[in-house]
Amino acid sequence: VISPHLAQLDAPVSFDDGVAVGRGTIDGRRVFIAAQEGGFMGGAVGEVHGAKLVGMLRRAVDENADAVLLLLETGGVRLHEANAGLIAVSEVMRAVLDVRAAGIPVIALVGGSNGCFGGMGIVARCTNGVVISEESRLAMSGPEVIETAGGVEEFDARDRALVWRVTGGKHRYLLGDAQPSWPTTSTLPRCRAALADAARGAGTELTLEALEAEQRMLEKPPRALRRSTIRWRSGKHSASPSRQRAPAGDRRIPRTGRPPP
Amino acid sequence: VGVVGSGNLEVLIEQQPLDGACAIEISTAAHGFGPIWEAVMRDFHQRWQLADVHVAINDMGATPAVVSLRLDQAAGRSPAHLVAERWRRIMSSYQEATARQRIAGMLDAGSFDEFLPPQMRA
Repeated sequence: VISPHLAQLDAPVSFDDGVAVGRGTIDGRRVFIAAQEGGFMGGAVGEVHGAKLVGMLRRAVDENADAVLLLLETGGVRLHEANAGLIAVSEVMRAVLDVRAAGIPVIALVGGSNGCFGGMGIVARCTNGVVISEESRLAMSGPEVIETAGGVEEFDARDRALVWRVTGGKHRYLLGDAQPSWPTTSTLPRCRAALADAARGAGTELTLEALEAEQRMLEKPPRALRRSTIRWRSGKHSASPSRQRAPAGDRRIPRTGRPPP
Repeated sequence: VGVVGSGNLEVLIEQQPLDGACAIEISTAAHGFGPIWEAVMRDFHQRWQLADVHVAINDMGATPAVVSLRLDQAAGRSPAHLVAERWRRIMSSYQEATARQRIAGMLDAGSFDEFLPPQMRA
């Protein structure tokens, strides 16, 4: 099924609209699975693409699957399709939450070079767990978007270290947004093992308490950061003797066995 | 086979009763290259002599050589090709794999049942 919007714009279309959905088994357990094709329009979500994801998620509930796996690689909404694409993404979010409410765990795996951005970044965090590679990325607005909106002083999209420090898989794992990351060079069987582990360990509960705890966690980091900054500044003046700079005279290394010139 | 990306294309070959003919349908982003497409397709047909076959192409500015390569890959899904596929399944990195290769790598061998596969049209 191809995208009617792209066809109208005379833009290239794809037979699967950039996503493959279906069901299969992992170690005999019945799973429903979707994989976005990052090579087609950066894995962007159009109306058909989103509808395929929603259809798969609803059928997973109807057929009482053991788990749902989303192999995400996407820049978010396909801008060519405007509102239809935006609605498609919000429908995917609702469908993911419906699957979780039915007691079926949903696991997202992010390992493509395009990462997972925009509305699909939110979808990833609506799941029970995110498995991400160290070098992959997960965020809402992409680096170029932030730079365009906020200026290069706000975010320099060409600063690779900054981009990965903010959106990279390792960072997501350290923040608690994702499971321990694995190196991108991993072969498919190794990713499969990581995914199977995550699917086994995932809880499906989605409670108000858990959401409130998440909210408290989101409110915490800025305050904690400010406090530690103050401590670091005051520490400059009252540092412990071992960290204080010794006077210049004491730092000279005593020369032995060599006559002065 | 193939992905609709810059300089690339996807090819879908299906069996269809066409009274022994071979029908080709091309959707492309680049206009004004009719004679070149015709030449590439005539060469392909001479190489494979396919009958009762429908070939559909979604193109994003691929060069004639790439078009020929993808057509041959799509036409020649031979046992040797399947062995190569299996090897790729075990050895290839997740990052370099296409969406379907990733799914095949995650699931038990041969267990994938795709909904709305590429050959299904609305």
